[in-house]
Amino acid sequence: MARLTELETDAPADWASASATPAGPTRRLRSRAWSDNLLRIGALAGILLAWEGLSRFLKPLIFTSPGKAVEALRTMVADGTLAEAWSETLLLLVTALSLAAIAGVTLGILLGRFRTASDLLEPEMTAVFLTPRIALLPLIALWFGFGDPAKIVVVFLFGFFEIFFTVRNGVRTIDAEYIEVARAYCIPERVMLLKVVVPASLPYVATGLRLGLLHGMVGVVLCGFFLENNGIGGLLYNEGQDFRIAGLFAGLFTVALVGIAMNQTLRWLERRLAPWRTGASA
Amino acid sequence: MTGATPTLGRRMLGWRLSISRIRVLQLLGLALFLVAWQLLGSKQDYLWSTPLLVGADMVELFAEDNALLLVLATLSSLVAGLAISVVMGVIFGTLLGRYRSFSVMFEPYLAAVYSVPRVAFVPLMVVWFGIGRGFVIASVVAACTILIVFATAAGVRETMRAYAEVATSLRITGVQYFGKVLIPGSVPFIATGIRLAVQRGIVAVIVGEFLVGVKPRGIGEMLRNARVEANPDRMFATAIVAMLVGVMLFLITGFVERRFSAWRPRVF
Repeated sequence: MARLTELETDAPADWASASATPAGPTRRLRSRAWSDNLLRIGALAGILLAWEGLSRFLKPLIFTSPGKAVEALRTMVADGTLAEAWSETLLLLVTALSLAAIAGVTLGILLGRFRTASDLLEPEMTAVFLTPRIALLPLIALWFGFGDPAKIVVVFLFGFFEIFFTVRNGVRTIDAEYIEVARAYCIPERVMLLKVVVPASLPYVATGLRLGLLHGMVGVVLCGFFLENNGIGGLLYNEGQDFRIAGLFAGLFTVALVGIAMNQTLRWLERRLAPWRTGASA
Repeated sequence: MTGATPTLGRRMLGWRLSISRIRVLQLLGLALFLVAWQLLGSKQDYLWSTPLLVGADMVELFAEDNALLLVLATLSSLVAGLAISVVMGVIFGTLLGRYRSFSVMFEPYLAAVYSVPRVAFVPLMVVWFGIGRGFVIASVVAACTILIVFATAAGVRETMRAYAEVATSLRITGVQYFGKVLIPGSVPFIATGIRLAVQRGIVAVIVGEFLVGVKPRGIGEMLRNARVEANPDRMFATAIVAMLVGVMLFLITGFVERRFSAWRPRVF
């Protein structure tokens, strides 16, 4: 149980971003940048061509061509289904994750600082964290119904632990020097929390929020599958049920876009809050 | 975890019995919680259940409804999917880490896939693979492969940084370079990738089983039934089974990871 520290370090996320810029020490040559972009575009063209080729080869019932997917995307944008689904989803995400962020950051800072309280709650926290949270869904539906309250609870549970554990572990790794200096000046605990611990843990808060948001997206999609079938999850579910493959692809594309946008924004925020930390091991 | 608290360590029959104050308090807290649940829950047990009812249902679940078989079915789907993920992920990740052009070409798109909540692919997998076991396995593959790809690529890069010069000077080239240097060198990273992938994979399996009634039936089927019957005892019992599975997987993957990365300094 003591090794819980490692659970939420979402290493591949960092590997993914660290290597998103080309590997190796070569980035000085402008011509290289040019050829890199050419390669990337070429790869994209290759992927699209392969997709098109596959769609000629496979039955249209189970596969679709890039053209048809774009067409489906257009109609979904035009008739407002996408806008409706995403506005519901984003509203849910913002509500639930604000609650998760408030609870996660507060508890994370307090329990990171006060070891005994943290150790006391450790078994319960760990138990819920290690439960595949989808298994709690029937209970949540029983208690909160199938509507928005239940969805908020589900997304909260998906986001909270990532935020909480990242912040708590971050607070625990704050440079002991800061605390010692503060102690040496006999600063009372309350001031220490506000002036030393909170500012020093800001970068971890940012990381926690990013991980929480990514995991919260999983919760949002699952809500659409298992509770009321609205929002983007419900859209995917319905398109799949009716075998509208082009629509399904279009929906997945928007999920990808939103996921990337959120990830990038929060990474930028992380860099702003902690410019001294460089990608890889952070 | 027990750092500052006094422990009474003792060796008994080879087991180290250590009792710390924190442990006692933890147990007391748990006991208090259970008593409170029993007292409050019994007023409306159709909604909140009680620990005793849940316990009785657990016994029934394992004795009559063969919960063990369902758990094994779920785990076997997970292992099958994971095996495919690891093979694909290691191959692709090695290429990605080894060849710069490869990483330039595909890395942006793979990083994009990484940001997508991959359970979103489950409906697509239903369409492609039907409602049989293949679908559950495919959902695991969709959820996990990308984690292994990035883990392997990171491992290969790290290995090249450390050993590329030695390997060149020893004239290790071609297949040998992959088989004897790069892949063994990235094993610790792959182990970490697997640990993370298992956490995502078990969710994918359960979601798949829960969403469409898959044969052979698994943990997701237990959730389906509990939900249809609106039976809170069964819901709690199933959640506890899922928790035990989660804890077990966590302990196993943690052990495997430590076993394979004993020599690697902990950076990540």
